[in-house]
Amino acid sequence: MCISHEIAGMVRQVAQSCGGQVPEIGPNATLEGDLRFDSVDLAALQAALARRFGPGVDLPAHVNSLPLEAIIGLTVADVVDHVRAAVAG
Amino acid sequence: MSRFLLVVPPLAGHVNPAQGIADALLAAGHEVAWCGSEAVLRPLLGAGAVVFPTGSRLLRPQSDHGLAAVKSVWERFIVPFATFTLPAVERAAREFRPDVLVVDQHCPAGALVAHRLGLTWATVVASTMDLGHPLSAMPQVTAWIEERLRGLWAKAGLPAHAYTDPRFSPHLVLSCAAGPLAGPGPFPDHFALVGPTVGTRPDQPDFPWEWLDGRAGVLVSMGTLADDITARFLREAVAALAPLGERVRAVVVAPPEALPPLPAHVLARRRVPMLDLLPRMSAVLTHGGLNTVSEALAVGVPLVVAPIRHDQPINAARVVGAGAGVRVNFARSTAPVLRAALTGVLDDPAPRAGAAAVRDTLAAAGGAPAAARHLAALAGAAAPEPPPEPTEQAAACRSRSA
Repeated sequence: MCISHEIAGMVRQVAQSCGGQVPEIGPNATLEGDLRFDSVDLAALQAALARRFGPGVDLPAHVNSLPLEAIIGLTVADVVDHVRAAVAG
Repeated sequence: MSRFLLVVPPLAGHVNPAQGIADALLAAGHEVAWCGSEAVLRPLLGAGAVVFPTGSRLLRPQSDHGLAAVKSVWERFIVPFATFTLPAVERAAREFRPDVLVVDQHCPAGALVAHRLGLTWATVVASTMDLGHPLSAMPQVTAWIEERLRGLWAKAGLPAHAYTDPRFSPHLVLSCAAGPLAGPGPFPDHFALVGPTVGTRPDQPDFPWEWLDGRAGVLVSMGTLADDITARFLREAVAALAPLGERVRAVVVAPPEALPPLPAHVLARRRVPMLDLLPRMSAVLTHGGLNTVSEALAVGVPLVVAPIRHDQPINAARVVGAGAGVRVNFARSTAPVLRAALTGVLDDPAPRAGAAAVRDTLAAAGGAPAAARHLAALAGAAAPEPPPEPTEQAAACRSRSA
């Protein structure tokens, strides 16, 4: 399975943790706007990412460092890019 | 005795705590006037209050959440409202000549006028959005907000070298959030965390008290947003309550037409007499506005918090941190998830004990009388004894000033 699909699956898992069903999540879906992620969801996603890709991945720290507009517009593809960079680095 | 001009935004959640402070000031013999939107203030304050009107302007709806909501509250509300009201606030200050301007944290116009006229001013913190540094981990977001504030400062004709953050008076900051709700300290010496400053609220709606019986009371209060996501949440909340008829009586604060058909043990009311109702409740399901959270915890009622935006996620995290309730997802939680959260808070003694601990902290924080003493001291008056019957005296003072 490619890393993009795997991470989209993790995002979906978090989005479904409150009982609902979420359809397949595309790379352009924004975490905050489309998926209505909050800090609790972000922490849950971070836990899943760190389990799979190691402690080098720190998505909350990455998000916190971004400008306001970039946080609002953060997509699933951006998460994939961050994980790729963290794993490569 | 001293003169205080209160500058508030047109939001009940900010006017109510300021009114508690005003009542306590009036009771101690001080003079109080208001500056804000009279259309909003008058119904909340009653006919006797002295109001310097700023006029009203249509505020664009803000239905976002997360950082998008932070952005829109600054861009669509705090900044344009400050710009729009600045001349009226300055006129009011020149006319009333207060000893202290008492400024809501999100009404920078009050702070700007204080600096323009060289007046002493105090901040009232009625939301935790800017208390306890909730955004300090986001340097570019805090810089973005400061840029807006510096823009207002410059636009008000104030010199850049004298910049003072209009959210924080250098003289006195009164916080309606206290204890664990205020977030991590330490706070500077001129911060007074007085806790909820509950005052008299005229025109409280009736409530069928006899309808509440021996069963556990659950209050559902999700604010006034009337969008699809709130409608979905309320449907799920009603479905969560539906099988609990043998043990629960639930009051949902919402227009009845916004809800599905209700079972006999669920009552919908557009408005409720919140302060009288809360002591009768065993749990509150709320979006987590600071007033509802503080007022529930002030009587030791544990919470299920489903935060939507602004300071609500911060309050939710602080409630969870204090062990006084649980947090659920507002946008996605389904009926079984909400039911589990509610029955958990009803059955588990730990959240009740956590709420009781916060209740004791809030009781010790001093509330409105403490706020009035701090303000009186700031105004240079001797701190008066706390009055025995603040509400009656306040009413008398208010009718005198009418």
